[in-house]
Amino acid sequence: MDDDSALNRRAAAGDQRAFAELVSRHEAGLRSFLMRVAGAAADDIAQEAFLRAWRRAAQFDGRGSYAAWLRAIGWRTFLDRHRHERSRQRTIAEVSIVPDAADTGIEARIDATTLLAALDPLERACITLCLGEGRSHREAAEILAMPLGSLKTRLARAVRQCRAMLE
Amino acid sequence: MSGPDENDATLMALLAPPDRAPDRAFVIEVNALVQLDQAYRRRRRLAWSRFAGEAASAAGLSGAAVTLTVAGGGTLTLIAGLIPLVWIVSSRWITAR
Repeated sequence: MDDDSALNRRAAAGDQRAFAELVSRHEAGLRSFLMRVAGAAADDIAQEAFLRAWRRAAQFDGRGSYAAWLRAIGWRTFLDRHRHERSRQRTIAEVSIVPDAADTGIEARIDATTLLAALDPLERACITLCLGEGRSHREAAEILAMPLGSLKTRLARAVRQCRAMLE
Repeated sequence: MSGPDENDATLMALLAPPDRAPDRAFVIEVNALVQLDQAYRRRRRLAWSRFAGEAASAAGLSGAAVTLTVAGGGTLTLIAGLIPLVWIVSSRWITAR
């Protein structure tokens, strides 16, 4: 079975089947991440992110993982959407999240939703990448295009808030 | 009250990505979007090349008109005869692309 880099090289050369295989492999992870961050708009953002990934397939250099590269595109797509939304008098912090239909149990859905609703989207992204997906701080900082120190600060704040809610 | 380790484990479990089979419907939707995007880009490229071809034809005709005005005399008939020929050839070239 081809690895992600090989599939992406084929996609960059115009192979739609190779790209469909990449979508199939990574849609669950990307949609779950975006659901945590963006709530109800997650699937629309994920579709747009995959479209961007298709157009920019040649730009993936294979140094990091394809999943991390996709998360970065998903995050930027989310930010672009909400810059546009902000111009219509909304703020990024107003993005609400809804239960994740992909979660396994109803209790888990309610708890995750309640926990994340108290955080802003950047904190949701930090905590989802680092705690949920087990990514390193450095990798999460690269995905979110932010300084490592800022990521650690935001993550610590998010974890503190979540712990307080769990207690 | 639960301890910090227990809370962290709960947090990790709550935020972990789902372990599920690929959503075929979503994959098909994205694939359709990709195909649409490709078709749109092809058409846009075609439209631009047509526009460029027609702009070149228009420039050629304008140049010919200017030459006719300036030159006059014997060359006038020859150039006047060439104008429709240039137009036909360039139109065929554009259509062929």
